[in-house]
Amino acid sequence: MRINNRGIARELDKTALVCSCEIPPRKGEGNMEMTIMGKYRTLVIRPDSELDQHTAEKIRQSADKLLKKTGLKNVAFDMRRVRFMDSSGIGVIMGRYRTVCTIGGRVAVFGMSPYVERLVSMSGIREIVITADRLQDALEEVSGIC
Amino acid sequence: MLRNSMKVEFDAITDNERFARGAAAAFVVGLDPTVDELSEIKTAISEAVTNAIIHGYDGRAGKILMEGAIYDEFVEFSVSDEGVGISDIRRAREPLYTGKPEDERSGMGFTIMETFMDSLDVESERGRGTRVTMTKNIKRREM
Repeated sequence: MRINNRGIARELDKTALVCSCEIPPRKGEGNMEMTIMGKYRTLVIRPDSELDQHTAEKIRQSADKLLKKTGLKNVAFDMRRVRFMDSSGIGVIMGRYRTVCTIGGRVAVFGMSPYVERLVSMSGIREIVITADRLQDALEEVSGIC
Repeated sequence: MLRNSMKVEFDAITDNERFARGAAAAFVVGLDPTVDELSEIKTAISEAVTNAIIHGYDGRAGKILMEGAIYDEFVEFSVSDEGVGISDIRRAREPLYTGKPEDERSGMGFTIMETFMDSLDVESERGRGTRVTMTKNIKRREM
């Protein structure tokens, strides 16, 4: 794990930046990124451009390992790079919800394209996850910290 | 009238999902589909291929056959496997039903195929395999 302030952490204010840490992807994980937002007790998952069964499986493994190791409560999916998604993407969001809801955590999804938004609406997961346009809004809503 | 056809066979591994939907998209691109139509076809193909890998072969080695055909008014795709087959197709097609609840499947696969395509036909035989055939009407635009 290494501290890195070049990625999405830079979008936020300095307080958030102090306690954020980006985990670079391992070999074979594409360009998926995970960022720990300590202040918000949230893991930000930023999938690569294609979110299918293949990439969903990699997100699932890395995210659950990190959640267990860090004790973070909440998850935010950064969908800004996602150009393609199928029901495996819905599955991975639902799965993280199941993981964190037992410890009182919440899941947010933000930065969706109209196409991703259509799939999310079709699936009915809007009932259980928070949707937002921006990173800051997603973090505040998911953690209750402003 | 049949205008064009194709057939491609590949290993049942998740790595090939991207290949399959990319090939399907490339096959229809000459019809000048809209961005939405293209996304819908890619998603439906991805769902069918994922089903074949996850449910048909259940992670075991196998081959998936994808066929495509372009007719005057519509395109037709079929995805076939020689896996375990589906015992209750009607139930499998119900929204949110999943044969693998422990694997965090969303149960949305067939619903997405039905919504994004204009017809969906599923043939399956226990122990022999499954064939999913989908068609989509594509309006020809005047250039």
